[in-house]
Amino acid sequence: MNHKISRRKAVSTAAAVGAAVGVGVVAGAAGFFIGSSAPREQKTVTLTNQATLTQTQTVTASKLPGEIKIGVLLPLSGDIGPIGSKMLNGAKLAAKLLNNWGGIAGSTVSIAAEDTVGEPTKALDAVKKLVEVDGVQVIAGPATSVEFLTIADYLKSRNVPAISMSATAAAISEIGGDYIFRVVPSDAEQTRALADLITSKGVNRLATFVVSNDYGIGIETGLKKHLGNKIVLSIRYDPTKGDYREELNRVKQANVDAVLWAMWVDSGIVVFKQAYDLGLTNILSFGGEGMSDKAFFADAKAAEYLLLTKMTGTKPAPPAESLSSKKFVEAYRKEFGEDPGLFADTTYDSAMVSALAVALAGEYKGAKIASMIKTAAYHYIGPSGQKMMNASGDAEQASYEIWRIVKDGEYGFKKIGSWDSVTGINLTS
Amino acid sequence: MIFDASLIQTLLNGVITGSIYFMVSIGLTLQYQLMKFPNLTHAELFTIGAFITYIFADIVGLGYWFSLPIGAVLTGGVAALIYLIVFKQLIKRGASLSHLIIAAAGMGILLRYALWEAAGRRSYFYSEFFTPYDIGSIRLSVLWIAIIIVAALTTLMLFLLFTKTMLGKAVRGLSSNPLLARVSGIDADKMTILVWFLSGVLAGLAGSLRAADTRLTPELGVEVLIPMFAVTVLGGIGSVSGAFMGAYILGLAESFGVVPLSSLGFPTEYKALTAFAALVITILILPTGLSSLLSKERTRRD
Repeated sequence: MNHKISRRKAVSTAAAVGAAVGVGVVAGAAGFFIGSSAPREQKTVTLTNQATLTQTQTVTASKLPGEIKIGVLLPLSGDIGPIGSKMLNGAKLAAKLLNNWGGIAGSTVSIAAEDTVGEPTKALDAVKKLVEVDGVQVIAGPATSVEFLTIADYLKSRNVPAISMSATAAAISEIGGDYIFRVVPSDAEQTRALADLITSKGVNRLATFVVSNDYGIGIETGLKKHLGNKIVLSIRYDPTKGDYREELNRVKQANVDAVLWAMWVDSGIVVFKQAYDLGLTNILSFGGEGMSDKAFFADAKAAEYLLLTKMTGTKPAPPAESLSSKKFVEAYRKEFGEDPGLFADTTYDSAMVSALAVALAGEYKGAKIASMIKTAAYHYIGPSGQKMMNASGDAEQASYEIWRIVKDGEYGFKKIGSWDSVTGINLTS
Repeated sequence: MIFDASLIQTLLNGVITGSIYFMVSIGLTLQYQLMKFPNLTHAELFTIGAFITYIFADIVGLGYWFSLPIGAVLTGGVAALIYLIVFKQLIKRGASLSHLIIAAAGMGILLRYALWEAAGRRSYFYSEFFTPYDIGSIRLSVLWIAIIIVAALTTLMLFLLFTKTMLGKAVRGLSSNPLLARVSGIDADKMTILVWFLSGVLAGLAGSLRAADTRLTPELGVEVLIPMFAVTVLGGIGSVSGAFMGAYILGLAESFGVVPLSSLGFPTEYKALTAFAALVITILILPTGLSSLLSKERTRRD
């Protein structure tokens, strides 16, 4: 979980919010939908025209409570508490700006935050408190995939939608789309970028060598979807074993052009050392974001192996600077006296989309709000980019940087191109 | 081609793994012969040896090969000290088998956490570069050859020690009939210290070699704890020749297990499963271990 957060450090620096755009949309869309919701009121059928009109007006005005609570689930204590506490600032800023602009059709927006400690069981307690005690009907969060997967059933049973700002596991797509949403793309998108990269390098026979857990298997299955039978061998290894000679020998015997590696640093170094010793060197190496870690260079042989096999990969790119991101950073600095931290932008976006969906629903009821989230996201451009969602409730827009290992005195990584969901792959060198 | 060349590499990989298992298990087996209790602390000596070697090789700067014997001998000393300070005292006070097992488990945990505290939760790497070579279709590195040679020398040395020297005979006598051995003037205490020292040396050697092949962390010993006990059971508890066969069967089963697993598309983490299936089957067929198949050596199951 830690790594999930930390690997997007890059994002934090470039982070920022499109308050202006967000607000415009909120106010405009809210006005439009609230107004247009009147004819749908069925209870008034038997009444006179005038009565219908009167009742509709009262209904419209009274359906939103005076205070609209946006629930926020974040780790506010524990290992990743310091990161979570700063992310919360993103949500607070969203509420503050919305209220400065007049609230939602006259109602005030407030943030009801609960601490999940970053642990699934605590997250379940926290979400219950928000829903049962505070009566929250829409939630920004939780931060990690494992928490989200744990509380998803509860959210569905209570008809309360949640929008995560940082959970990227591919598995969330399977349960997402009605009450489970996120303003970040699924990890599965990265495998699309990786597949494009591998294809562009003319690879016809690929082996995958992944750690046998959600991270490794997620990348393996994602790639299989895109590369099909170009993948001739898939190895899932046990990271605690410390001895991978025979697995690597299988790869060597399979006579492949390239290997896709997905592993943690500790076991990964052992794998690369043994691959070097075994002479599995006439291949190209590819990897996801987890592989662009300088910690792999701790062993000279492992580092040399990566250079020899030209390790190339993808990693999430910071969002392009936009008016929205610029305004967000300005507003954040003014409010908190420092630069926004990791995922502050996506937390802001998550809270904004939540508020926007409440406005569109015209009623503070989870099921109605949930039905408006995709519509809200469709119209929203925030500091972390365009937040349009797919059928599974994942942000569609994704952009990745393409990097390669280089040795210039010491080992490092160099950006050699980019990939995004609109234009695909673009290699600059 | 009748014989698949890739299987020679597979065989070799199994032999390398088996050699490490042998060297670490043999100490446990020797201790069991003499003391009749499974020493759970033994796996930590594997780690301690690797760290001592690291200190001499990379911090003092003596280089890996020169530090390897230093690490091994000092680990032997640590093992002997552990016996003298902890287990000898416990036995003197009449500790039962279960007391000793629990004390050994506790001691192991204590040592591991002491290592965590001292070394931190990170991996270390020896700076020595072990050159790999192609020999026909086989690939071997200097280190892998060293692992096999050290294991072979260990076997030879133990064989000579136990069959050709008075010292070895005394140890054997002590393990098969302690009372009789004492009556005939064998210094039981000295022999026990010697066996602990020897076990420590072998664990230190094996640990340093394994760490060079993989990486050095305070968890190094935990990785071999289960295989180590498996080998000891597979061989017939307390049997040296049984442990030898057990270690290589386990090593080869892990190595050859990967071949069908990867071709059938299963995660290769199940290779441990194939190895332990070999273990369970052996126990079912030969409840006293492989040693019951071997000639004169007595199997002791107390």
